[in-house]
Amino acid sequence: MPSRPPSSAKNPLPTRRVVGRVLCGIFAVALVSWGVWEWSVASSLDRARAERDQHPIEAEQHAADATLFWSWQHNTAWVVRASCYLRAGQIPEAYGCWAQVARPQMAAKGDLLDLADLALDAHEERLADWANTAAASGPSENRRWLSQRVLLSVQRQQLDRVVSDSAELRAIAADDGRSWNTIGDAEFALNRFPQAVEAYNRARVAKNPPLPADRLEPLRARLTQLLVDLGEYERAAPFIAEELQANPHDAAALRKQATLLRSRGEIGPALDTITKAYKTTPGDERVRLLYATLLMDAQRGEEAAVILRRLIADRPFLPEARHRYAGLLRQQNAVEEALQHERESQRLRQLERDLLDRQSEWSTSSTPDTARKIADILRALGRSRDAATWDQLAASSAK
Amino acid sequence: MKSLWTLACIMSLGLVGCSSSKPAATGTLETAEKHGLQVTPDGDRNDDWFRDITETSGVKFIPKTGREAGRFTLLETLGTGVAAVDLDHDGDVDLLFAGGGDIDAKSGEPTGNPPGLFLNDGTGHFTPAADRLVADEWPYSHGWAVADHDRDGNVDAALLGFEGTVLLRNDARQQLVNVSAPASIHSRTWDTSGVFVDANHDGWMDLYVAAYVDFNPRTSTPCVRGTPPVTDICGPQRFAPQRDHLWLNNGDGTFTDASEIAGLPDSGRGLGVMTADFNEDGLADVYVANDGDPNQLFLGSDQFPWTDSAIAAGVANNEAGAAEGSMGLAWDDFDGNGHADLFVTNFELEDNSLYSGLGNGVFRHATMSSGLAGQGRMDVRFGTGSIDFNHDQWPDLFALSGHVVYHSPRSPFRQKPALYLNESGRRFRTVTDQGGDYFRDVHGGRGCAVADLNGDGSQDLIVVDLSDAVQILASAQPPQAWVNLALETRGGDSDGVGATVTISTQQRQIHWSPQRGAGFMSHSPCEWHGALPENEVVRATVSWPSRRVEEFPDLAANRRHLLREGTGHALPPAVER
Repeated sequence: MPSRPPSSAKNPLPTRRVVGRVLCGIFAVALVSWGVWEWSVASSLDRARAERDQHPIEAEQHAADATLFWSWQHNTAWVVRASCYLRAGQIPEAYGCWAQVARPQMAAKGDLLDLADLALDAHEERLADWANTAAASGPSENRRWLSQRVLLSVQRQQLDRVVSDSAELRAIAADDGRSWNTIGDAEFALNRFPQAVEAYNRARVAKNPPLPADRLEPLRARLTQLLVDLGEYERAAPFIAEELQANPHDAAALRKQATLLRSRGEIGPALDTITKAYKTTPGDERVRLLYATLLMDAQRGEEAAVILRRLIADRPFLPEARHRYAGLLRQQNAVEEALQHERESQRLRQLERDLLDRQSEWSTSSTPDTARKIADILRALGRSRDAATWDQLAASSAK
Repeated sequence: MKSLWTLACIMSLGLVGCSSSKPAATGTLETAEKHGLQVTPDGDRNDDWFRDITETSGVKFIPKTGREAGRFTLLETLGTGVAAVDLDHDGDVDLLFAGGGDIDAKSGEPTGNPPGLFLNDGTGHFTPAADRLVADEWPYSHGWAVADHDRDGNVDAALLGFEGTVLLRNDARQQLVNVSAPASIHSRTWDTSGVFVDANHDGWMDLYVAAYVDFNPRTSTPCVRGTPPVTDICGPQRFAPQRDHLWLNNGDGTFTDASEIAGLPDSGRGLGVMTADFNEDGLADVYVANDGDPNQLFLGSDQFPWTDSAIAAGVANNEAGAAEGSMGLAWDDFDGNGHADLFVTNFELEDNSLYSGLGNGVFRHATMSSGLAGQGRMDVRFGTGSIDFNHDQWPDLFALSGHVVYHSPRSPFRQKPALYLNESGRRFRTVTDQGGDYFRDVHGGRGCAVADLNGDGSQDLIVVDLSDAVQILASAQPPQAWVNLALETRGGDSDGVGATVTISTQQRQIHWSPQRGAGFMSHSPCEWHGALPENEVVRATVSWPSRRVEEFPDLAANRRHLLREGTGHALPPAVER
């Protein structure tokens, strides 16, 4: 029989084994706990992602749970949390969350792109840029981040970059609705309206993937307005019909429909349509103007005069209202009164032209003097709130 | 499931961030897709309204712009006009073309290109006769004004150009001789177009000249714009407008500059000018189409200074009260309400403006209600005119287009013209693709005139494109019968501007208010030309500028009639004149 080893040296191995086992146990527990925590984080993030569109505040709570302790998904969790805040319109909190993102490029690309999308929509260019730049660390053929970069350049009026990036995007856009929507925006920013129409049309029918449903309606509204502005009334007709089908009381859609009918010479139906819009949004100045114009077309001058007089009283700085009222007065042989309104209309038009000139001047040389002049013109046009902003700009640029 | 997969990722690979992107939502606009883009159908070529007869007509002329110099000057953008007028007194319409000019590549100095003259043999065949145009040198030219300014029975002309207006006298040998110096006409402004009008009612035709902007091609630099940046032409808005001119005819072969006395403002960049009776008082008025500034209307008056009545009349701006870049002009009773209407062509992103005359000098903006809104809104439209090309006794419209800058982000340099068919005064319908090859192609359209060149009873078009050969477009479908009326007043405006004529045919009563200057920098014969479904006798009632009303009852078809004031019967035109 083999003898047992002495007790002192009896079980050095078992002790080590025990220690080893304990350590293994601790490691296993830690590993499992960590795994559970990571699982819990992932689960919280999934819940946040699932709920953030509908209930951003609740979703933010889920995302907050995921940021309690460090995890491999720590960066992603803060990004998701920021996106929840953005959805809830809590912009400073969103920036606060972004500040906690230690290594943005480690965050999930999808969440970064989602955050950049939201920031773009909210015109939070800095946040959009940061999130997009982090997401853009991937391969360059990613249409989505390129698309966001184009939109960012559009918002920042960096037209050189719009041209180069949108050309790159056009080359890889294939049948991607979001990309074509962005290309449309880029073409619009470059004043290439026919090309913008073509791009929006491609965005509308793209299939791989199609434009998200929540973006389809704004696209349609924009395309319709663009076609109406370009005088392409009949091309706009089916889109206007869709807008009205989706929302029969939408004042903007009703106004477009009335304009379309007027262009066809269907004054009666046009008047019926704009009357509906006037009833739902009696304060909308464009609806009021078109309503008065259609009343004039229908030889109902007295009613038109009432609308226009009220509009001028409410919006004394609206040149178009005065011009139309003058037209009515001219037909009633009230020549002197018509001339007074025309002169005021021309004065306001001149102020609007001066404003454009000064704003153009500001874009090349941002001097306090230019800002003050812009503020003065805005005050003369009755836009005191905007004037105050320019006063502040003048003061800050003087420093 | 996704979370478990994420955990597995962490445990096995130590990787993070395996979250997936949002599922894409779906949705299409099926209804809209059905409609898609509207495609304009090709016109049936058998039904084309016009055919190009330039080659067989013998008219071969290419005006110059100086574009080749590569200096990108504003000067090279305006183009040139044409005058359709019976210069040799043989009863048919001859053609005068402004020559434009060259621009020196180094110095920017503009030099004139001689104008072209083509004499008609009465069948639409022309012979070049530039040797009948006598001048030591020609300015860089744009437009024509035409009238018998010395009252010798021969039609004279004025050629408007950059830093120079040339007054031409049609002498006994049927030569057009430069008489600017003896007539004391010295212009240093950028004159674009003009009309003869009896401004002070002394029976002598004075000259109204529209001036453009204070621009010097020798010192001008091109603009760099767009993204990516390209060298291009600077727009006119950066240059100050120049004051128009009114040269009063002293009746002794000399003229006096009355621009200041007449109170002409220097607030408009003038491109088009026309005279007609806007307020139906029997006096010729002057309308000026300005580029980017409100258009002006000077009502005929014995009293100087004149006042601008365009705003009061409702013909200064667009429907929203904003000024437009106006160029070409047409004048006719398009809606058949017994009052003449005004059609003005405009810049891109602006509609052409149709101002419907309501009587007493009041107009209503009728672009939208006439169906003309949005038609070619992306084009830059210049020459235009009233022409009944489908012979239904309703005046139709055409408009020539072409951009002024070479690299517009919105629309191309060469553009399609447009043809608008008048549907019995109710609406206009675009029928451009049925206009013939010229209308189906793109051009840099500028000046134009309307006249029956070949005596077939239908009106033809003479179109002048920027730097291209001029083109003659004959009506491809002459009417069954026709009648042509011209007026001759006793004193005052020899062509009867200020008169109003009611023409009674079997179909309808037509209102005609004579004008001069319609088109763009051009002149068309001052006459009414109408198609008749069959040989019928037409009656005309003329209310002369003197307010005398006179009946001309038996105007036979297929003839030209000169209605001379006080005679009560028509005369054949050229011979009696």
